[in-house]
Amino acid sequence: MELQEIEILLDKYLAGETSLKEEVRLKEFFKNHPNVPEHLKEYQALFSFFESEQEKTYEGGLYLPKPKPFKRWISIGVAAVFIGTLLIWSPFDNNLPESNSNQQLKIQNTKGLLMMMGNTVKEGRANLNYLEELDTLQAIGKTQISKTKR
Amino acid sequence: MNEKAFLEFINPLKDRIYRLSLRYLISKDAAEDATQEVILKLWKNRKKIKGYDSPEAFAITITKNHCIDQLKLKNNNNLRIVHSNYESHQRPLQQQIEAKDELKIVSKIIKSLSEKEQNLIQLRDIEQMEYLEISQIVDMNETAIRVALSRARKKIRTKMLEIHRHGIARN
Repeated sequence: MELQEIEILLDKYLAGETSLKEEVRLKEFFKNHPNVPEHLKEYQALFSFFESEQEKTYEGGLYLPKPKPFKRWISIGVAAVFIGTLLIWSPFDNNLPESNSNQQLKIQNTKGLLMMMGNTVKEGRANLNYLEELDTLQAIGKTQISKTKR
Repeated sequence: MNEKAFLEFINPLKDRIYRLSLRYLISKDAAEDATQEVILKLWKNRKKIKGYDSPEAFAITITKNHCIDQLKLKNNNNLRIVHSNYESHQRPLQQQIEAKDELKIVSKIIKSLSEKEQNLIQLRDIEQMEYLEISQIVDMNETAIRVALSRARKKIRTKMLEIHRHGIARN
């Protein structure tokens, strides 16, 4: 008789010895037989509880930062400026003695380039944040918001 | 892992992540926030995910650790897993026992268990995970898990029997 099988399974369940399949069997039984004998009523409530917990779902949105091709160009830009600076400081020029003013010019140029590099990175970062916000706004537009803030 | 593959991975998991967060953090808002943050964490670690035997266990572990961190940070009464003793109701429980109330009773009983036991009930009885996966998440071996689960289930049953037979629960 099914009840006997169920009682055997319940003993195994309490001992932590049931397989997932057997546990599913127990849940199905209590779901399909609302009128169980008195001594099994607690299990009815317990497995109903598990069922109700399983039904809880996530209602919020999924926000992912989108891949940013822009970022790539920033790093390439930085690299280009860096290499450019190195070329200016290239040792191969050392055949001719440098005039003071030439050296000054070089230093100025390098400083200028380094500042530009710094600015580019800053701008790049600012753009990234903006993009993130933009992406988030797009994501909000695309996904349902059922979240209500209290 | 590109965005599409990641979403395919996350979609079946997000409810599970949410439910576990809910068990730790109690509040729906807190659980929703936690789910967002865990998904973002997983996205940032998406290259690692493929390397795991059970990417799912990895995701759930991240969730668990995130929730524990949240509890430590906030240290807020609302967000602690409350090891509360079940309190007696004013009127006899027999009058209250409708399906809905019964679920509330079970819920309270489970919340009176230890954090470890609640976790195991969540992962095995509610999320229906295999012991192998659970052992990766809670860092216990299978035997230890079975023993702890058995103890937890017996506790639940005992408390429910008390309620049904005596009408008013005793501590």
